[in-house]
Amino acid sequence: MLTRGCVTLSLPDQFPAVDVFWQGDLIGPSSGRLRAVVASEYREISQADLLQELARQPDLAAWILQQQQQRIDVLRDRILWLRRPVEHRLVRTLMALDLQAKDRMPEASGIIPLTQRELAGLAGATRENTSTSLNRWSTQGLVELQRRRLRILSHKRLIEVINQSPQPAPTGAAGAAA
Amino acid sequence: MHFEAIRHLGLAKSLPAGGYLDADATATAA
Repeated sequence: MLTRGCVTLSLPDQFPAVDVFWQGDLIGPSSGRLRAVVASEYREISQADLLQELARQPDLAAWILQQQQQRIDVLRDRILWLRRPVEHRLVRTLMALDLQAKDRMPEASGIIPLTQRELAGLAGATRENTSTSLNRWSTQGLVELQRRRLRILSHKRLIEVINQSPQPAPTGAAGAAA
Repeated sequence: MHFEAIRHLGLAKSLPAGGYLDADATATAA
């Protein structure tokens, strides 16, 4: 369990970032690599300790299931968004991370502490496409780029990127596979 | 509420900004 900070989960040599964890999130056993994007603290809880606590507090199981369900919902949503243009996915990723950062790490004052490579991974985009879009939005004053982090300057104008570009028509399996 | 209930379990560990933790639970500095 992450008790303070923020970490990303990546699959080395495959995906730069597939998930983000914030203070209070449960991180299950995984085969990935965690990177602390800010100074972080965590508790390594053994299965025996967890089972003992579940026997003492059975309603804890409902909370753990709820946490896992929320994570599944987020991942399912990201899969559905893969049909959308890259820039839509980037905007959506930035807006979601901005909300999470403000809610879970308010001391960061709206900073999204992820690298462009990690953002690309979360948005399902290439590093090059991500960099091109972010640099353009930076020039336009929509975002402020810093080393290994960024900040949204205009949420309204960033959302307009989605609203002003053409929406893809609903597609079936053939479209999704294209 | 549940976060508070289990945050005392197990061993507390820290990871510096930029530090990595691999599946084998060995923390390394960036």
